[in-house]
Amino acid sequence: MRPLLQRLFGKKVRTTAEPAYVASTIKEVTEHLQSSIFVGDDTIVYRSFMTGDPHPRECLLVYPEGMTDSAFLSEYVVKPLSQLSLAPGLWGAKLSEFLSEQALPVSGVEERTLLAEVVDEVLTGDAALFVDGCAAAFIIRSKKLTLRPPSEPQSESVVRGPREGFGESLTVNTTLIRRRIRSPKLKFNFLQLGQQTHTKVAVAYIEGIASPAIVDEVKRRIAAIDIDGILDSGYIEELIKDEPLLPVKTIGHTERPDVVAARILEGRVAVLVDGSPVALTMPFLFTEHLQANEDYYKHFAIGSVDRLIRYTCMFISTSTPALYLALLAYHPILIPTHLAISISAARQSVPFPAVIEVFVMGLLFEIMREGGVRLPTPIGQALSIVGAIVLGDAAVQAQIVSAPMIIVVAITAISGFAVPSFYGVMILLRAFFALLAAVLGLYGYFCGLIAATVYLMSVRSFGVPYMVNFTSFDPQNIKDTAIRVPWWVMRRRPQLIGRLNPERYRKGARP
Amino acid sequence: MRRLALLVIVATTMLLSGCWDYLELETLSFAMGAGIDAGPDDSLVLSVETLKVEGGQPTQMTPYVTKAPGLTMFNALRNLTNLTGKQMFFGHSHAVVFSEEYAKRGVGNAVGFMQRDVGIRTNTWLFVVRGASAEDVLKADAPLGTSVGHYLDRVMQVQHRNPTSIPIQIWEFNRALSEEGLRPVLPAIELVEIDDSKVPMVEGCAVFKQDKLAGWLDAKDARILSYLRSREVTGVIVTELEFKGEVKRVAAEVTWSKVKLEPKWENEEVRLDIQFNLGVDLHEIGFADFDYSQPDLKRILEEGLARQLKEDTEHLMHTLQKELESDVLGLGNLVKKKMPSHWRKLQRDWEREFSKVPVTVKVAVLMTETGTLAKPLKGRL
Repeated sequence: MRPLLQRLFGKKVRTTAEPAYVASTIKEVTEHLQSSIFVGDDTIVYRSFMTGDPHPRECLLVYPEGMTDSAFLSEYVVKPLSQLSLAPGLWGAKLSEFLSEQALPVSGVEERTLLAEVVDEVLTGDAALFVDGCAAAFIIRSKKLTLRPPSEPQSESVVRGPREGFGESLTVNTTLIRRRIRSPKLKFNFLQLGQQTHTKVAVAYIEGIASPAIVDEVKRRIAAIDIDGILDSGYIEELIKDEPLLPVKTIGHTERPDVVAARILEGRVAVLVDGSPVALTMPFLFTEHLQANEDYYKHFAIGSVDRLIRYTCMFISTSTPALYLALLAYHPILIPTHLAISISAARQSVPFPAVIEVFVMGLLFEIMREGGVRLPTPIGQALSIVGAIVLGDAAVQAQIVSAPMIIVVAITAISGFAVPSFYGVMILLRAFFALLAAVLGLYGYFCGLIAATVYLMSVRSFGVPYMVNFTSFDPQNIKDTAIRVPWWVMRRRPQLIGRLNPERYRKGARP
Repeated sequence: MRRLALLVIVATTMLLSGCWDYLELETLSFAMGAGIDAGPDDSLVLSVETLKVEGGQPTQMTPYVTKAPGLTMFNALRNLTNLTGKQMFFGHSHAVVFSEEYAKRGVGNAVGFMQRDVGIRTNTWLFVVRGASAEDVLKADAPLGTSVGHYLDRVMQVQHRNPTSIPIQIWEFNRALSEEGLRPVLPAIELVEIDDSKVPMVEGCAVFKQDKLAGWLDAKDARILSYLRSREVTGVIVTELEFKGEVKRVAAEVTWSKVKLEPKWENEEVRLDIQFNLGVDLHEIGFADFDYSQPDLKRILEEGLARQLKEDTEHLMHTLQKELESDVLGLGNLVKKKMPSHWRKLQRDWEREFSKVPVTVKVAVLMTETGTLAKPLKGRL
């Protein structure tokens, strides 16, 4: 029994083949690459040429088409080598030393002997040079990728603040951060993930500010990932986040280098993924849902007002349908007299009970939103016209829904958009509250609220309590929550996250 | 197992409690006020003012009154539901009016029901109508308002600015019923004709003996009674002053006040000392050359106002002691608290004792403000 189970469910032992080395003759190398590793792949270019007289020797340049600067290669690799004459006795280690130190007039040259490594480099867009008689490949840095230029991310546009956003290239993205933090303490640690995609992943943090425990934990979790492909940072987020089963966000994401830089400066760790313009930051606390980079660029009072509005919006968006339902169906005594009567009048000929109305209208709005999200702008406008006129106005005119319900849906939706990073959770929370309110009235709503709060209190993000800023009146912890105090007051980094180096600057920074 | 038990406990406590009950707003009929008239054979007729609501822009709300007879109030309420087909919702009702005849029979049953019922707010105002039926009050016109119930509520809210009665809510009335040595009162309504419309005017008080109507107080007496019961003087004091052979009116608004009712035991009998201390704000003065910035003239003014308040108070005491012989002041209650041993002897025949209690009234008025004028306007007739 046991062997069978083990055969079915036991861990498979991965057999690792003997590492293959680069052969010393061009013939063998060509054989290896062309008819074994890259067989059937027509994007790989094999350019063979001879070194100059009197003792011509065969060379082979291998690179992927379109990803490499071929003009650069012909000017600085093929041309000098074909004019170079190699001594007949120059072989092996001496040859490779001569080539990399004297013969090749390019800055990025690396010698590789493992074939697998060579293949890896070629696939990232560099060229590999093989010379007959040398059991090594010279990797020539000649990547030339066509990239989307860094533009303002549409998902996080600002009125005031840098317009730059991350692109798809990891190298460019790291430079965008490096340009903001010119410190040798800023570290980028590279990892490679994905059995098939071999995606490069960078873990960024500032040594001496970020807690080593958190950095190690991030690296440990990333290293434990075993998946065939990483196409976006979302894969990594889902594979390493705390509370994987529930949609609470315990890892932040942003497309803005300024946001990443700010979070790194606070002692957080960022993870960048090649091919994804979205960087992950961790630990992520609940307050961060309600923070926006612009809060820090504006006057602190105005930023604080914006914060407070966002807090209000979060409350409105999660609770309005539930409160509307509870008041209407269970506690009409709590509605101001005239409002109660006018709602009653509006509902006089509506055929559906309030519960159905709340859920159907809520669903309808989410359908419109989801329908519009991926549409190109011109069609999107048509959708909003249909939504506004047909569903809003006509439904009320035809007395299928009541006008107050439309107001509730509208205010819920608009306030939801004020807290975009919380939106997904908000939909679920809203439905949960509304359901409880429909069954148990205000009592149910408060039960739900308490349950949600208790749960959030138990969540941790990389060891840091999720709601740490809400559980105490410690002035240090609440300086950057519902309000944003001026910079000269925010002298300390967030506790628990930046504890290693708690002070941002010395006292007396106030102008 | 323990987890399961915990889950069951949490689930049952969550699901077996909750707010009762799911109802649709449009199936309710919003009562704004109710009136109770006496019917034949100890029965009653319940009239309820509701709003006829018509959707549209803006929403049309027209008050109308429906009525149904019943043996008790609850019975009548259910009879009314059968009549309208909608559940009567009293959550927004603010006024219940008793007719004079019904109040004479006793309102205890109805008021007890209103306190007990979950649907009726215990902060609903109670009234007794004089010289008309309760139904007439509800059918009367509410100035600047949608419904009589709402109008009466607003009138009660502003009573303290110019007291003509004593606003009483259901819970206060019920508490007064159970107190010893304190007779309950309710505000009285009279229907007054103003420009072809009948307006329910709140003036004076209905005085109760236990839960039965026993007599009336007019607006002037009710006003002083409200001062004594709430231990606070509010509103405007108007008096006449004689100065240089002329008699003119003076009006001042009370800004702060302190009212003390002190029962004393002297010469084997209860005495009552009433002490008013109040600050006033001069609003109107008829004389052109009465310079109230002079201390002696100011004193004349203050003494005039004090005399007025003293006279009014003495008038009220006369009415209460000689005409109605009823202790609506709550003096008996004070005696009971202050000197329980004497109360035991007095309580048997308290009402008669009350009518013989000697009363001393002292009033001290301090004029602190004179509006935006420090001196009178001269050259005015």
